[in-house]
Amino acid sequence: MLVKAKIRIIGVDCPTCVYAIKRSVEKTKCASSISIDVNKGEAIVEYEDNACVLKDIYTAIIDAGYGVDKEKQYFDISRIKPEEAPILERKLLKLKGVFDVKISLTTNTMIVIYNPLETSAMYIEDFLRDKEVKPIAVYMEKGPGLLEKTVLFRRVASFLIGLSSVTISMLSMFTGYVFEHSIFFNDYSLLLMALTVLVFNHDIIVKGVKSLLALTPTMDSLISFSSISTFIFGTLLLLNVLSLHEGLHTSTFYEASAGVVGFVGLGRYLEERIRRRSFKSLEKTLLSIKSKAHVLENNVVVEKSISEIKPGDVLEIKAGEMIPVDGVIIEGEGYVDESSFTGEPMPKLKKSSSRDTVLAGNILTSGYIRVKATRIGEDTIIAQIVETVREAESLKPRLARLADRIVGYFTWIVIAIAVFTFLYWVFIHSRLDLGVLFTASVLVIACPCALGIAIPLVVSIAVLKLSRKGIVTRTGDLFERILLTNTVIFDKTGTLTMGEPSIISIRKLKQIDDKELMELACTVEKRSEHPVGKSMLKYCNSLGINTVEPEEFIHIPGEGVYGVVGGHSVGIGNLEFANRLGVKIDDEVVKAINEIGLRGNTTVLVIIDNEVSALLEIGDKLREDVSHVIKELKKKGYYIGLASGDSEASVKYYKDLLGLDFAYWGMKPSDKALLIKELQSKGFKIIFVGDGVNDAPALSVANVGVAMGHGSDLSKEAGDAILISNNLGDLVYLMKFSRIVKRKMIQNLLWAFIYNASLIPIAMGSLYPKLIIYPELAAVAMVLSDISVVLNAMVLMRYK
Amino acid sequence: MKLSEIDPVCGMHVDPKRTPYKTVFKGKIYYFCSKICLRKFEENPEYYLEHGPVGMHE
Repeated sequence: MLVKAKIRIIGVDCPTCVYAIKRSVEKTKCASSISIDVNKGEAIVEYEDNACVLKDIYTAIIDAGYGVDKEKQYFDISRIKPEEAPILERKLLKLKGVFDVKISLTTNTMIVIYNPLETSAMYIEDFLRDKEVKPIAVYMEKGPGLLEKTVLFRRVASFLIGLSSVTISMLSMFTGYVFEHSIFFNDYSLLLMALTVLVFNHDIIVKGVKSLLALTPTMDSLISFSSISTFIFGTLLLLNVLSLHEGLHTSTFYEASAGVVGFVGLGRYLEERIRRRSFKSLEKTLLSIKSKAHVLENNVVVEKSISEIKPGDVLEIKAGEMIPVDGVIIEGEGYVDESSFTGEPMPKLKKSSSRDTVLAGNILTSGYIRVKATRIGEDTIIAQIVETVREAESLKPRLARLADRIVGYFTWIVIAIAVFTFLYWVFIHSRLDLGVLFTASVLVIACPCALGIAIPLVVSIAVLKLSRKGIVTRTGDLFERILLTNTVIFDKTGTLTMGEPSIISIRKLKQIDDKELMELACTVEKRSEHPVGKSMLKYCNSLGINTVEPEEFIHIPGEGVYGVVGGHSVGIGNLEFANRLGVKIDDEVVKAINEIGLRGNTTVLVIIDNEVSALLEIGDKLREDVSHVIKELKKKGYYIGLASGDSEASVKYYKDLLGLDFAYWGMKPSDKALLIKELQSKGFKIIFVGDGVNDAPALSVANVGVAMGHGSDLSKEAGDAILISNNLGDLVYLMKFSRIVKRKMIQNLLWAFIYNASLIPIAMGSLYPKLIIYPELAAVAMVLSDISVVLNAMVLMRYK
Repeated sequence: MKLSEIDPVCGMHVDPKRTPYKTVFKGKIYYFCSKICLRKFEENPEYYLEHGPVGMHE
């Protein structure tokens, strides 16, 4: 059927944009027409709904490089089974107005992205009402509620009962039915135990049977099937309808029924607890942000709820409070605990004088500050991290997609194998008891659970681990992509360098004490607003040099500043300024200025009493770890280059200084993106490291975009990773860590797969009578495989 | 600093402590009554220093 959809596109402002979008949408081959109103940014798309879904159109527009007006709703999917998720996803994607569905089984959340022009959160919630999926607020903590506590009790009790029934059964076998006639330990007590376990775990059983009847069997179906069949068989034995052959270490089969559900129930509960615990600290931080804040309004401090705060509002933060927004300090100073981002336990001194930035989730340990909010709510870095962790699963690295496909078929394959096993033992060997026993074992041991979580869990934990290190990752497949790169291109200013002018060297031309020189210079510069003046003052501050008020101060724009200090006339400025003052410039000075220029730096003349007394070289300092990072990258065989908007002299100087392979200068942000595309077409796989604001185009076209975290003004779309602590060394760490992450993914996938593949034949009875895997042992094996996959992923948290 | 200085462009008396219009040339500070005088001086300082003030803004 031909369907019409109205979509508001963001960023369309020219006819060529319209053309780009049209071409991209037409590529989907299912849209019959698209018309775009440039002024309103509204598009009307007509498409065939049995050929594609709205998601295809949505993706096509995003791929063309434009945003789409959209809204999100989060859902709690902890009550549905992993195997049911893809079905739900498909159904939702067919719903009118749904752009995309992202499911994270690790955090049990589903995000539905929809078109506010076509549908609403309410409508989607309504659609999902009977599907055991509940909407959640964005910042919801899933703490252990009453329900969870009873679940824990039921699971632990089932485990203990299951364990004792298995023990009793074993003991009675080996000791020759000693318990046969005692009151407590006989077949009836085992019946009672098995019944209790089944009742305690009725939730698993009911759900399993339901989904089996709906022909979408899940892991629960396999377990229920297994325990019910052994239970029924045990009952038939008890009623003497059937009898057992020799050679089995069992008398009733009830212990298998109790054991399977008891062990699996607790095992899965523990596994989920382990998983959830690691995400808790992050969610907790996010939750604690959701409170009241003190906002400055017309010079009066008022209490407002976080949701009412807008970017640009000024917030008052007192010692001990958590900062609820990302922003800039505009007043006061204090020590800020950033440990939730950087892992750095020592609080850092942050001041308004240097316009330091703070992030939501930071804690002001002492002092008093006023913060101007730049990002709030969902846009804050911490909210982004939480979202990335939540979405990590839906981003599906290549390996995860493979695992997904396997799990989908796996359940059916397991059922087929189970049926085959049953028929084989019953009809070929005429052994109903063995048929039931082995079928029950196969069903349990082959649960695809470990396969399903093998990779997503690794990604989520990796994202979390990196966030503690001060590296924010935004895409789950970053780890695989970064390993395929062979070239690193750096931006210069603010990336390789600190991004602000500072004094690099002082060359004295007259006999004068260092301290006296800087005292005079800084006293005059104190009144200046120029960045060079600020860098001088910073230098004086760091040396503890005191300044007084100048007796006279004159600022000549574009040339320099002039003042009178203690009877001395002091001028600080460029050559033009020296000419104005009528100061004689000799050849030595000219030569020195030229040399400094070759390094791309600026010379400032300090003129005291009409004589050039010193030359200050002002430039952008390299970050401390740059040469180490370059060395490490070279060792890894990377081709390294520089792309900068700076002058040729400066860029070439840095290229030679650092021994880089290539350099481009005079580049506008868009030029950098073009350069990257060109190099990519020649086969280079590029990591671009740049500033998160100006370099956004280059960051997005690079194979991997890494943004330096200049803090407050970072755009949300900037790159695949952000180095929050501005530490270039983190790039090398990210590469090393990605290698480990990839290894963990493969390990987990192989482990889960081999475990299943090797144990299934034994469970089928291939080694009978030498080796039998009883259903209860199968349950233990399955739980161990599950937990080992989880633990293997958790090891990432301890990577240094 | 003297209590009063002469604007080298218009010849008016200027309080050096209060006027924001000043510049430095060949090691000497000059004060002005207004932005206009300052700008004129900056355009051609040598002229005013040689000829003296030319009176109010023509």
